[in-house]
Parts: sequence; C-alpha cells; structure tokens
Amino acid sequence: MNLFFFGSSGRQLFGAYHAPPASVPTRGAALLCPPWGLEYLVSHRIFRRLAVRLSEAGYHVLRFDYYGTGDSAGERDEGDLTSWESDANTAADELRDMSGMATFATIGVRLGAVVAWRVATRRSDVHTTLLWDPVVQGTSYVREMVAAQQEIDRWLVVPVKKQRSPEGTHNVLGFPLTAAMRTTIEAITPEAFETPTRANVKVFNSDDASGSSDLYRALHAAGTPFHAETIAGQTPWREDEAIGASGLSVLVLERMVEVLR
Amino acid sequence: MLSLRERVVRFGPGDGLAGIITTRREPGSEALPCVVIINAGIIHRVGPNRLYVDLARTIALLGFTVLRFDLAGLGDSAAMRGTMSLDESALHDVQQAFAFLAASRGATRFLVVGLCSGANYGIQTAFMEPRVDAVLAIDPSVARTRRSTIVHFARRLKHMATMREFIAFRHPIFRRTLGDRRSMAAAQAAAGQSERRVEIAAATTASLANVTTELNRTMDRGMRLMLVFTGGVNHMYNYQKQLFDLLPDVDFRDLLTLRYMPETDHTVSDLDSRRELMADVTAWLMMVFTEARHPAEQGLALVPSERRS
Repeated sequence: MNLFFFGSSGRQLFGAYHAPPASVPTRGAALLCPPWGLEYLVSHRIFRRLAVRLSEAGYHVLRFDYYGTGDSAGERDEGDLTSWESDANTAADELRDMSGMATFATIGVRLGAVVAWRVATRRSDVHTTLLWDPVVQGTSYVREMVAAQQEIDRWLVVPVKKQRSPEGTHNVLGFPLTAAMRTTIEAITPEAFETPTRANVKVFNSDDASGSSDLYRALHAAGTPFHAETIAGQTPWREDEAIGASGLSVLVLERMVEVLR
Repeated sequence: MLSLRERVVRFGPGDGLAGIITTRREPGSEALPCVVIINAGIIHRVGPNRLYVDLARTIALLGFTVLRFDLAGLGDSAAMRGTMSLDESALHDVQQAFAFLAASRGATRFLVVGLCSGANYGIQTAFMEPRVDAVLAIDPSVARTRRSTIVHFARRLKHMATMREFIAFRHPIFRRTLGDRRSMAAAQAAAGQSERRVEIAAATTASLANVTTELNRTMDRGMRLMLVFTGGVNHMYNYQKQLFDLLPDVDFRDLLTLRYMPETDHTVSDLDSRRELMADVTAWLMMVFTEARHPAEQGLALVPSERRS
C-alpha cells in the first residue's frame, strides 16, 4: 500500500494505492469513492479492507479523500458534490497513470456511489460501476441526516451552541453541511440515474428501502442493464454514531470482490 | 493552507505505522518540541470529525512539526503483533513515533495531543517520559465529584425529554430496576453489579491517588498541561472547577491551562466551537513556547483561555 498526495498544489488530494501482489495476475483497476461526513468516518475501515481484498484478487485500487475531507487539503466546509466529482476524475486519471490500465471500475458508497455513478456516465474508460446503498433521493438523505442530528440534540442535557456563521451552514452528525453542499445533494433524484452509461452497473443494497426501487425504475427507464442484490443486515452507516466506528460488512465486501472477478 | 506542507511517513517495526507530518513551509524554530497526535478510539488519524487535521494544521502554522499517525491496528497502520495489551501497544507506538521524530528531525522534546482515549494515552506517556514538555488533553477520563453528580441528576430532572420518558415508564432506569428484578438470575446479576460498583469506586480512589502523585511529579519538572472538557462529557465533568475538587492535592502552579466548553460536543464539531478551540490552542502554545510564532504575527484573533494561576 502506497500512501501519497496527488493533484495540483492548490488542491492536494490524499490517496492510498494498493497494487496487486506480483504472484497474482492483474485483472483490472478500481477507484473507490468514499461517502461524506460521519459515513466517511464509519466506512474508512471498510474501504481499506475492500481495497486489500480487491488487490489480492488482482486489482490496482486507489482510495482517496475529496478536497476538504480526510487527509486531503481544504477545510471541512469547502467542497460539494460537484467538486467531489471533479476530485474523483483527478483520482481516476491518477489511477490510470499509476496502474497503466486503460479502463477501470468505480465503486462508491452512499454519496460516494453518486460520485462513482457520475464518473461512469461522463467517462468512456469506466467498464463497471458498483454502487453500494447509493443515495437516490437527495432531499430524503438530507432530511434523514438532519433528523438524526435533531434526535441527538433532543437528548443533550446542555444544548449545543447553535452556529452563528456562516449563514445556511448546519452541523450534521459532526460535519458542517453548507448551503452549497445541501443544494448539490438535494439535487440528486432518481432521474439522475437515467443518464446512459457504457459501464456495467451493479447495485448492492443493505435493505429494500424505497430508494432502491426508484433507482431500479430509473435504470429500467433508461434501458440500462444492471445487476442488483440485497444483502440484509449489513447497514453500517448509522452504527455507533458516537464513536465513528462500524462493523466490516464482510458479506458485502466478499460479494463485491466476487462480482468483479 | 498554502503555507503548510503535508507528507506521508512510515515508521516503526517494518515501517508498519503510517502517519502524516504537517510542517510550515517557512521554517519554524528548532527549539520547538515535535508534536505527536494520538488516535481517539478507533478513528483513523484524521480524528473524530476531522479534529486532528485541524489541530495539526493549526499547530504547524506556529512552526511546530506535527505528526498524526495511526496506532497499530488502526487506519492505515499494520495490525498489532506480539502479546502486548491494547494499552501497552498504544504506548509503545507513541514511543515509536518519538524515536522516528528523534531520528528524522533531531527531536529531543515532545508535545503530546489527544482526545478521549488519545488524551489518556498522552497523559500516561507524560507520566513515564521526561521528554514530554507539554500535553494537550481533550476530554480525558475523569471521575465525578459529589457536586458533579448532583449537578448531573439535577439537570436530568429538568430535562424535558428525560422527564417525558420517565413519566411514560420508558426510561431505561425502569428496565434496570423493575424489569431486572423479575428473575433470580437478574437479581444475582444486580448483586454482582453492586459489588462491581464498589470495586470501581475503590479503583477510582486508588487511581486518583496515583494520578495526584504522577501529576505532581510532572509539575515538578515543569511540564505544561492544557486540559479541555466539553459538554460531551457533562455527565461526568460539569462545572469549571471540578478538576480542582477532584485533585485537591495537585499543585498545578502556573503550568495548567483549563478550558471548559460545556456548549460544544465531545468532538468540538460545530464550526464556531472548533474555531474557538483552535484559537485557544494557539494562544496556549504561544504563551508556553516563546519560539512559537504565527507566520503572519498579526491579524490572529486569540481568545485567552481561562487559567488558574
């Protein structure tokens, strides 16, 4: 595993590159697109494990942090879904450069799945896009996040200080949700998944939430062939909110590796 | 952040420990200690809600070399090996970080930073390592005092959500008392719990005596300490001077800076509180280390922290 910084000097991004062992035939390359906020913290261990498993299976894998998140440059309140997509494109170029592979898969979780999807629809070098619990309706996602924060606030004996500035920024599960973030996230609708893509689409859902049927309908409407499966009991995104930890979702990880083999 | 430089480092046995070093592009003073930030719980080196990234960059701006890294088994570091306990392994890894900074940067003195379990490890390291000049500990483990217990329960009684649950018999206290007593096994478990409470109380008393001794020893050698308590631990620490009621026999002299932030959460996640904490940490470091200088040296809004001198 090679940890490194890449991108321009004004927009330095952090990456972790996992090359396959020399003893394993190379199968391809994969770009992992992380979610945002608490879900980013919760999924870090999962992403590392997935990267290790994929590299053992012959994949060149790049994990990375968007600008303003993780180890990348920038502040927590900088960036939005549009800029994260741009960062993913930068990371994709880096992955191609490092691996020497002409095509690659994008793999994303939650908001990261939206990023992975967009990269797959706008580039011709993505052969597969694998979406895990994608956010299909941005307004519902924001509403759920805000409600989760309100539930936490309700139990606070001493109320947490309300933010005074900047206008329109709200603390959501420990991360500032800016107006720009909110606008770009709330713009996510099922129709966004009607955009055609040349990539093979594979969807993993932790449960049969209403969002998944909307997603399938959109993919059907666009005539996009896809593979979908539900693996129950593996929803780590809201676990252990207080400590930012989670289980490893081994079943899903192993299925992803199998599907990409 | 253009005036900062960040790079990846690997160190420790087999280069198994991974971290990020943050420095200022304009060289800082060589007289400054190197800073080591220790994981909070199992969250990787960015820290809870990215607190450690903010701390590293804030501190590095003053001229310090800052290392935030993953303890063995966390983040991008290799898994623990051997037979050490979690605590032993963590303290061993902090020593590995010191050794790395000594070898690569010529560091001879250190400042240790951490939140929660990271704060505990930081304080424990300072107890056994004379090269630690200063510790910044956010929400370290703390015991209640009689007053903080009263304050806690009084606040709970006034808290509407708690009262609603209580009136509707949905409060967990009913499950713990009425529900559990319905079986002999539960009664025995309750008896065990009672014994356990006595054990904990005894251990706490012994621990406080030990902490008093160790803190006095570190104060004797002039170690500086900044302690921050947030609203995230208000069930344990809930008034400004609780520390002095808890540790009446520690002579902190003018070496302690105490910051009580009851209106923010455990990870100081809201933007305003985070800025206030960064300003406080900056002010503290500039007070403690005269070589610490912000490159701009002007326009920096410093909020003086509350000190007991």
